[in-house]
Amino acid sequence: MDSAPQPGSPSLIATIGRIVLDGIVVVLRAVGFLLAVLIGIPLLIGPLLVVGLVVLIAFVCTAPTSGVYRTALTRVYMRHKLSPLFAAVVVTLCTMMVIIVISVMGGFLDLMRSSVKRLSSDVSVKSGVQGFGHYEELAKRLEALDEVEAATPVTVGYGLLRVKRQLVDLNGKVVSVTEQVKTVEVRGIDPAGYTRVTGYESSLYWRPELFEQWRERLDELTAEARSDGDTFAAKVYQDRKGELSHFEGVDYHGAGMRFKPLDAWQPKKGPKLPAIVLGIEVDPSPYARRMRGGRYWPNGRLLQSADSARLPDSMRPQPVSLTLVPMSSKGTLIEPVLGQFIVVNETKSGLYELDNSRVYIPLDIMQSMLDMDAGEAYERPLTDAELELLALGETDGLPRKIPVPARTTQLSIKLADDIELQAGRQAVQDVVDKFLADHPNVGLLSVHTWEQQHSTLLNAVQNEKGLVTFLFAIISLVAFVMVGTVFYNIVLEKTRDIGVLRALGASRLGVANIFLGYGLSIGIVGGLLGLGLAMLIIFNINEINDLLFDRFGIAMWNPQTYYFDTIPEQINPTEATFIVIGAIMCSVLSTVIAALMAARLNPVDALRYE
Amino acid sequence: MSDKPTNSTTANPPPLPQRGEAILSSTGLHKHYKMGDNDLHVLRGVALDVKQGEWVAIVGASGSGKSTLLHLLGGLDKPDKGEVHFQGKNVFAFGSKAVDEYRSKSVGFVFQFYHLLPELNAIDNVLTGAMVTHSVLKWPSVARQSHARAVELLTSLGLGERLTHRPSKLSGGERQRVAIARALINEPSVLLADEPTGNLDEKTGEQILDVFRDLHKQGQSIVMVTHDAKVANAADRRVTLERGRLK
Ligand SMILES: Nc1ncnc2c1ncn2[C@@H]1O[C@H](COP(=O)(O)OP(=O)(O)O)[C@@H](O)[C@H]1O
Ligand SMILES: [Mg+2]
Repeated sequence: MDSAPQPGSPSLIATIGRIVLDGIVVVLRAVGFLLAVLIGIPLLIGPLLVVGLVVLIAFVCTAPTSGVYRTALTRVYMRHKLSPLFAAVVVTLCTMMVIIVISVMGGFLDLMRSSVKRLSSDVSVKSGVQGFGHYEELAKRLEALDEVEAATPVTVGYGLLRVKRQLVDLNGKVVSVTEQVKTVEVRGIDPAGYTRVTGYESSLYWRPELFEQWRERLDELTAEARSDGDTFAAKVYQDRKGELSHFEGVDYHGAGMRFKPLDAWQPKKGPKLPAIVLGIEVDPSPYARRMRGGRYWPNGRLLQSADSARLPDSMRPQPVSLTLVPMSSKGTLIEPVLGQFIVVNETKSGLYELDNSRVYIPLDIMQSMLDMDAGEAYERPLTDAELELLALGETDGLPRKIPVPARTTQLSIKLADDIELQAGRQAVQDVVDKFLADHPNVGLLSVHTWEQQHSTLLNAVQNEKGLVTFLFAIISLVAFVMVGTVFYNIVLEKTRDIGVLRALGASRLGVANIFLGYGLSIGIVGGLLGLGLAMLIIFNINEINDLLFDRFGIAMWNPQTYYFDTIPEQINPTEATFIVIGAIMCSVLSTVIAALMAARLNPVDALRYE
Repeated sequence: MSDKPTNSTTANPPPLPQRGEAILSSTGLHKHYKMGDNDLHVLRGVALDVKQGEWVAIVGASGSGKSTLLHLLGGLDKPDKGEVHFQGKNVFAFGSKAVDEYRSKSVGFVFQFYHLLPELNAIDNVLTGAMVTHSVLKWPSVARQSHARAVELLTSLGLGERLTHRPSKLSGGERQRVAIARALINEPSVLLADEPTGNLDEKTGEQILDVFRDLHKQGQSIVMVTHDAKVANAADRRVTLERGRLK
């Protein structure tokens, strides 16, 4: 001991030292969890691995060669004290929480990516809203590439969809009419071509297997109700099964692929109407809402049934009307056009964003509505005076008319199987550049990959995953501070015992290691238990959700408000491993203060009193 | 009990000291305590020789520095000045690891307030002494032997029926016997006892004193702090600590 008295300074130094130490520990914990969040960023792995591993290795290496009392006492304290049990529970819960959050969010991201990918072409060539001509030629040139499997024109525009519903009495007399309007993204497509570049065909929702599944499910429910003695419910299920028969045997799939309404679906009077395919969430009526389990029921939708022909027009689902705003090739607005369509099928991508806002109509109808079909145009823009003449119906003195080719707003392209996305994009870009050189008045064309096109949506979820995990990691940090407090208190409480051990010959490092070992044990137990629990919950999360709903009416997850029918049940092994390692390291690190306290303790002071 | 004191501070043990030869000695021990602006000079050059097999009683008024001296002799605290020699070697000259080993193998502490670990039963408390000296790797090979020795020690101290009792289930005298067994488990050369009867009634104190008498008969060197004249009389020699010096 230093015999020169330095009044005041030792305690000040000790306080500063403690603050600095606390700071270091907090920073280390933060780094540890940042690592867990941002796995794969080597910049962060460095410092954490160094510090965490130094503590761990120092502990593990000294363990076998130092006194056996350390392990023995760690075991005893684990068994005889309640607070470390709480600490272990806290570590367990935090590990579980972070793993569940990161897994479910990661699952979302993967699902979204695959859904977006399914309904998007790999690469698309886009023009402005007024479209570009000679697209057939460009498509041919592109399809000649080895890198490109297929290219198809798609015309994208925005419009207003009007859905009219009539309430009729038994005599077919209209009692009331409601009309709902919704803004939609309209895509003019050639279904066969579009299927070659996207998953359009597989996204068509109404198909025979679906009715088959419904029937089986209803039979199951009926049998269940019967065995429960609930004859009323059984009858309701059988009635619902009866409703299905109206839709069975109808080739909705073929209608969606050919874009041709069956003759029986056409109104009794008036012209024949073209087909429209709606995103499954587009129809705003309450009948069309998603049911529990993410399924849809055909009845009450805009779908025409098998016996449509026998019903009066007023009793059948009404055609929908679509208003589009065309633009001239020079980009000026022309009068809105209105078309009537018969819903022949619906698509479900799994991505609510798309399913809620997208409708498909035949490309040629779209082009003619938007005035983008082949025709004639004045060879130069009209002056104000000429526009006045035109308005008066005069044709003399107007410029000469020349033929113009049909236009589309984009070409959607599927790359050959083994072509890497960026390489494919570049190949397409080269062809587009040559095409533009050959057709100088086509205007600007840009080439995008599907990832670029949906980057806002995907990045949003990616960021959300990072943010939410980070927030939970911060909450966990609080928990680890609590773990640190638990150990701090244990050291305070065990001061005398530490003194005894020192008197029996234990070294400073030895008594410090009791607490590091303690933290390690709690970290391992808590981390692994947390992993186990997280896996248990993640792989049963949908059952848990159903159970909560059935028993308590709590809808933890409502498929109507989310993108997907079920909560993704997946876990990323790398992420999970890092989180468990992070939890173990944090547990050890949170005992560092307690361990240092134990090491600095003066045994004589600890032993002086009872 | 231990007429062959073990020796562990060196790889090559010097010849065993004979009865009458100094085994533990101190020269010019000084110890200050700083309390705010006050400098409490507790020990002012304490010189003490303890011979092999000798029982020395240190008496003195409360607060005279008896415990402080015992802690210095046992390597539990460092003197500000002066040296402690064990078997001719300066205890504090070879680093903290050597001091730890000295405490663990060469001396054994017995305290007034027993200081047993409350979570452990009698036998495990005694074994803790052995567990400090043996590493995790070596323990399996000595565990049985240590256990047997702990049982033997406790039985010889009359606790054969109390082996698995926790301290809270033992009387004061019994607790002190467990503490003595713990101090003896590593066969220390010197037993350092700080008022071992100070917390016991007269009759129990007498029984504990008998334990020390037996140990002394078997050749155990003992340094005992006490302020009880009767206890001090049982020792071979009595020294008094007064104003920081031994008389
Ligand atoms: N850590 C300490 N800080 C300040 N004073 C102390 C400390 N330890 C002991 N003292 C003082 O030193 C003196 C000697 O104490 P101690 O050795 O316990 O005496 P004894 O055992 O003879 O009763 C007492 O006055 C005590 O108050
Ligand atoms: Mg004392």
